[in-house]
Amino acid sequence: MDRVLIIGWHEYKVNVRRLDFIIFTSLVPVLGLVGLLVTLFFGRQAGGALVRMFDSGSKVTAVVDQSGRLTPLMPQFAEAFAAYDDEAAARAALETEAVQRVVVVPAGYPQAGDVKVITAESRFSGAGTTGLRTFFVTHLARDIEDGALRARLIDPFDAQIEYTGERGQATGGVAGEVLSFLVPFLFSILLAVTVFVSSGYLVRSVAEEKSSRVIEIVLSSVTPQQLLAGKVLGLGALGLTQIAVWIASATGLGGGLAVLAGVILPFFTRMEVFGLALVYYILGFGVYSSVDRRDWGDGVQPPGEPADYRHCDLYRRGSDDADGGHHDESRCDGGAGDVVVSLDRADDDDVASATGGAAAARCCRQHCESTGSDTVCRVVWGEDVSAGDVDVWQAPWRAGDCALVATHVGRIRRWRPPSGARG
Amino acid sequence: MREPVLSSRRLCKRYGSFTAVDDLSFDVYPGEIFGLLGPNGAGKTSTIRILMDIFKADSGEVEILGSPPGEGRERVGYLPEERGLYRDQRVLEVLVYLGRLKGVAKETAEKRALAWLERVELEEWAGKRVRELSRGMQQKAQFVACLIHDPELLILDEPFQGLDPVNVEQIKGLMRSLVADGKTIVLSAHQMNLVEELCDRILLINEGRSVLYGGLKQIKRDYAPNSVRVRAEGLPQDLPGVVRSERNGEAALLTLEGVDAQEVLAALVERGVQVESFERATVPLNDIFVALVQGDGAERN
Repeated sequence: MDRVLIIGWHEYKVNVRRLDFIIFTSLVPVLGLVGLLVTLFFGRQAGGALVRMFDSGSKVTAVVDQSGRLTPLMPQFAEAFAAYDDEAAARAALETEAVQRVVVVPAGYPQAGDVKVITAESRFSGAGTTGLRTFFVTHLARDIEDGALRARLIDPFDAQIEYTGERGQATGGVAGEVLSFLVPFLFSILLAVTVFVSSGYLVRSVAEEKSSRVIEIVLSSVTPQQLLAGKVLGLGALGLTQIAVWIASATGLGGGLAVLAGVILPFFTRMEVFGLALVYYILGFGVYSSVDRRDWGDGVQPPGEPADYRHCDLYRRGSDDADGGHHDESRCDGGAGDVVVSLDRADDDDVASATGGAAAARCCRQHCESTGSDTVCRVVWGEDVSAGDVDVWQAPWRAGDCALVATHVGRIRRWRPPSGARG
Repeated sequence: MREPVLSSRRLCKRYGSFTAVDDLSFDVYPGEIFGLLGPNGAGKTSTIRILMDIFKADSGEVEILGSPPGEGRERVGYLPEERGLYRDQRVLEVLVYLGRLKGVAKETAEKRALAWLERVELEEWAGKRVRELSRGMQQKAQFVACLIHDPELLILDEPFQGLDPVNVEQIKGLMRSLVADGKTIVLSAHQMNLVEELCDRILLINEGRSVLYGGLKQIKRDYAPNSVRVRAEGLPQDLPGVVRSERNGEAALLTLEGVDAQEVLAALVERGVQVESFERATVPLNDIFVALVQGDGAERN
């Protein structure tokens, strides 16, 4: 166990100092910081520029009050509303962009409630009836003596909502509600990204050990299982560090420290959520670190279970025929263009081996050429493949020119063919 | 006889239909340098990988320091043929890490690494990254890497590959001092002159099978031609049992038949010949190696 920890700590230490890890990890805080600075220093100007970008001109609404119910206009609306005597004058003002829209209130308005809105804006600009409700309600209610009732009519309620069905929910008003959705959402995205990234580190770490040929030295000290366990531990911790940095920076830079803490802390104190996040991360890391095995290559094949080569498996099974000969079937799985070799032969084992090997080579080449990727070819043969008593021949094919890089031959016991393999 | 530190009994390893190691039995005794020789593809590295528990043997038994392969990892030092170090890490850091994997405490590993680096004249490079080292320096650092845990048994697969003569001398010196300290070394090498210099006993394998096994002195005696090298004034041409005489500079190589060297010397003394030097002729290990491997191949074909 202590060897596993030594390997884990070493992997962590080495990778946490890598330039690409530092850059990738600091990307979030740096971008956040830049965003914060921009808002701080250019906030007003940027805001103003944005408003100008979407607002073509005047914000004034022309009111043609034929009912007499709304005029004279109340002083708090003097900036945004202007009274016009007739519709023609108002339309002329609209033409010259002196006003944004025209509201015609007909004489029958108190009874029917119909008003006409004329605007030059598109229907998506939101210029239709925005702000009109407050304008009408305020003017209609101005004759009511009771100030409190008038205030309530204009602004009926200010809700403080308590959700009894959900524990740990934020009570920070609208911002809290948005955050309580956003934070777990972003958190899960971060989690997924980290799973991808740190499993990539694992693949690279293994590939590096092979290419620098240090693997055999290491394997003389520890078992392959210990080595892999240590790497998973160290690089998994590396991924968690990344998340921690991102969350910390988001918390620190967000400004709304209290709000965020209010959202995140209850989120974490809910053990099932935290536990699930951890399980999600560990499983995800496990899956992605083991799925992406491009070239674990030739050279040393750790004893025991073989690496799971997904390409170009070729199974051959032999069975005794009634006529004393052998029946052989070779099948190439995966990749484009499966190759199936089926041959009936007399009892010359070498001929069948050669034919099977040639079929595998063809299959691997095809796969390499059609996908343009490194392909590891594996041929599995044996009298009783399903019992796991098999011989395995494997050879990596290099992407690009699809040349055979090296052959490695190893006998592997306790091997089980994946489901679907006949043997 | 002393208990062997390493013993192999009827070891077999097959890759498909190809037999890499075929019925190999040998013992290595404490305090010796044991040479594992053979042409390329003879099965040396396969044998060593089985010893190191990197491959599993198909049949046969191996015992290292009294336990099966893989159990006494921290007592065995291994320098693989395919070797390298983490290129982006610092020399000392890598050495300490590899030492810790062998169960050595950090401080001890650091102290030993520095001491060894000094012995191979790499102390100034301890803080440098591995990729900055030359090939020869890296080789020496790798050699140090397999010594950090002070192993009782060292298995060195082609330790001299890619080293210049100066460094070869340095490594040779180190190996001798290790053996003097009571360590045992299994050495696989191609350079027959080095093997001749260093090894006490050898095992020569060809196509996976044992061709020659035993003490180097005994082997050289067994394969020595029945001839003597004599340097003398006025060497008579009619000595009894001498069938051929070949002049080679000042010395003469006399091929004998039916007599042994002792009788020839007696005859020379009897005749009052002034003998400056007299020695049994030996044959270089290289010649034995080539003859055996070629003979073996011819026999098979």
